[in-house]
Amino acid sequence: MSGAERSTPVVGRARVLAVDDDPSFLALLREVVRGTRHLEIAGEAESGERAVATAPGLRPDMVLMDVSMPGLGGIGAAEAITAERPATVMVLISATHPDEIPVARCAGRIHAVIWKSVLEPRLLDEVWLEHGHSAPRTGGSR
Amino acid sequence: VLQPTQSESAAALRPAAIDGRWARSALRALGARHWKPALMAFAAAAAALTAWVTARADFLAHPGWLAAQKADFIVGPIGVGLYWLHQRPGNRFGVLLIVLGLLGIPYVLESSSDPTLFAIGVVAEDPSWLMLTYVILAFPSGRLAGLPERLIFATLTVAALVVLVVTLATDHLAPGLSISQCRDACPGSELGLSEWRTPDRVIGTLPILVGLATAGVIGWRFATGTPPRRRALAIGTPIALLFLLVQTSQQALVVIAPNGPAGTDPAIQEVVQWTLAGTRACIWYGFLFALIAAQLFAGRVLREVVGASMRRPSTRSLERLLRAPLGDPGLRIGFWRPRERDFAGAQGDRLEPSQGQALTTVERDGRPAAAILHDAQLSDDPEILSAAGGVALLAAENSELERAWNASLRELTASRGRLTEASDRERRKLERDLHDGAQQRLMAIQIKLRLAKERTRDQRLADDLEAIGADAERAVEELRTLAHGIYPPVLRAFGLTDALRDSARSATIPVTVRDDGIGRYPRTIEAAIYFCAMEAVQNATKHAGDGARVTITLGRDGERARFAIADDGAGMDGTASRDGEGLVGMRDRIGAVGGELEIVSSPGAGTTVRGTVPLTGHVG
Repeated sequence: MSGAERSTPVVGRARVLAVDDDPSFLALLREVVRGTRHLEIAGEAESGERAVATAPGLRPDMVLMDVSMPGLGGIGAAEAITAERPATVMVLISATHPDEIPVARCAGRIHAVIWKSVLEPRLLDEVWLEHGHSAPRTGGSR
Repeated sequence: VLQPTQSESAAALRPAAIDGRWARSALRALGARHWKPALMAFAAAAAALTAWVTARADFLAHPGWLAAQKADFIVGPIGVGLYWLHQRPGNRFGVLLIVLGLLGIPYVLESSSDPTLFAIGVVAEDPSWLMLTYVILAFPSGRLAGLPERLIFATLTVAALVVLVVTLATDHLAPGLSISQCRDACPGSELGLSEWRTPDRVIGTLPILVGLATAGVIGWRFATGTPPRRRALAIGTPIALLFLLVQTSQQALVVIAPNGPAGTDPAIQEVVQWTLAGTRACIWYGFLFALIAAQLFAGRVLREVVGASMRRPSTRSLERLLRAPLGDPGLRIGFWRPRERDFAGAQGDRLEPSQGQALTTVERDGRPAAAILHDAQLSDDPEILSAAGGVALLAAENSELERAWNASLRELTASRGRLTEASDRERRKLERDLHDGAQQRLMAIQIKLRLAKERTRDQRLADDLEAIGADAERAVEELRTLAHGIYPPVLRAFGLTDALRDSARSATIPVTVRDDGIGRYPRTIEAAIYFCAMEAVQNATKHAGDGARVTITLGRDGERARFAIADDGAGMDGTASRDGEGLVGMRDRIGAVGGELEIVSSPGAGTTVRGTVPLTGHVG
């Protein structure tokens, strides 16, 4: 939002694909991303399948993926996307406590699992700053 | 006094009247409840009297032998007849033997030196004679089974009458072939009879024909009989056959010899006399051995049948089992159908005896229950038939019970499974609703509170928002704990190993989970094993003692999931706490999915709860 825009240079923001089957939570994710310093929403998807289909064209730097979705599900979609674009920073957003999602199960390159209960803009920035350096900065380059 | 065929009044003795029912009702009419021992005592007394009188008759050549023979004529048939009646109450052969023995009583008169009594004795021999032939022909069923037998008996009866009339009209003396050797010393007859009645030669050939025909019929029945009948005949009739042949030879001598038997070689006479006497005295013992042999045989067959019935035979295999020893390939077993009022075979068809077959029914509580369709000749082996029918009935009832038991067991397991499944479904739904509904909403509120806090510059508002956020966090925690207890989300998402590892972290006792490749299963099974394992861990926490560790092992053996929860703690003693509430709950949980649970514990050796659950036949 405006606050985030004020504190962060618009150029060089990382492009984020937000995925959640619940539209109201998707809207909330959008707001949280707007509150970050380094991220901006590049696209949204309401299912894992849609996310997998959108990712190649969208080329997001970071994906915020809801874990439990019908069909392919968050983990399946995350695996598919990172398999194709290994440099993507993959963040799972989960209503279930991360302790209850064994990391071993999250095959592929999952950079972080964030519990919805503690989700806030700063946390996303931290994840990006920690893992984003390896990701190609596609944001604004096109 | 062993002349075969001459006779008197035997015609009065109609064989048809010699009926088991008739005799029994007559005896009942006497009010003799213990008529069998009484009859035996009477026979023994009569035999003793006869022996005493005969042994003292000084005009006889071998009074000692004759005494024994005449006593045996009474006590032998009656004794064997009573035993037969006792063993086969429905068979009238025993009654025939008893009648034969009673007819032997007048023989004592031939030991009398009084001419009148002696003559009466001679005449009284004829009914006994007819009866003996009847018994031989009727063995072992007690009935004259076929037309040949009836014809033979009718001919014999007519011949006896004719001979009687002829001899009554003449006063012709001739020597006989009795071992009594009294032809010169025997008392004369006041009736114009003597012991040696030599009839007309043409009439004299009749007994020969009857004897040969009787032997022929027995031979023919043996040749065409089923194995059981052959067995009965082979044991029961050789003596009778020998007797018949000797008797026929003797009669032939009487007819052929120019001067009657007296004209023949004394050596031949000797042989004929003694063989005749010996064989005649042994006939009923042949029948006795036949009965005993049949019982032994029945015992052997039954042992096989009962042994086989332990292996839960089908009706058909029981049939096969009985067919070989009974030699009846057409044997069938049927069971009573109350509605159709008939017996149904293994194929569900109605059992009906065709030509030469008979139906032996087995009753229970006075009602027909089972039946064996068999060759009519098998009626000679009633022991086997009724007992085999009983075994068939038992086997059928057993399999019926087993089927019903298995069906109800299956139904019970299925309904337990359905109940558990329904309850699990409710739990999952509740957990799902909490997780997706209230919990998600609370989390959204948490996020919104944080976003709002960041945006505000009002410190007091920020503090308030912080406090509300803390409340929301507690609410989320509480909801999580609640939902977890209802149905662990990890279990749903990742299966037993991860769910148990996850739960192990919050246990107050060290828990190690070892996964030997258990894999994923239908939710009901996973829930059953999960909650059972949690209960076992809970028990270990309470009872294993300080420093104890728990190891959970999960694996799979073919089509069964296998699990074990072992602690190295204090263990428990015997059955003290074995079926506490928790253990009952564990058993119920595992039992509801068709699994088995075992608890092994001993003091100092820890406690192991282990079980298996079949993986087939479940809905996910």
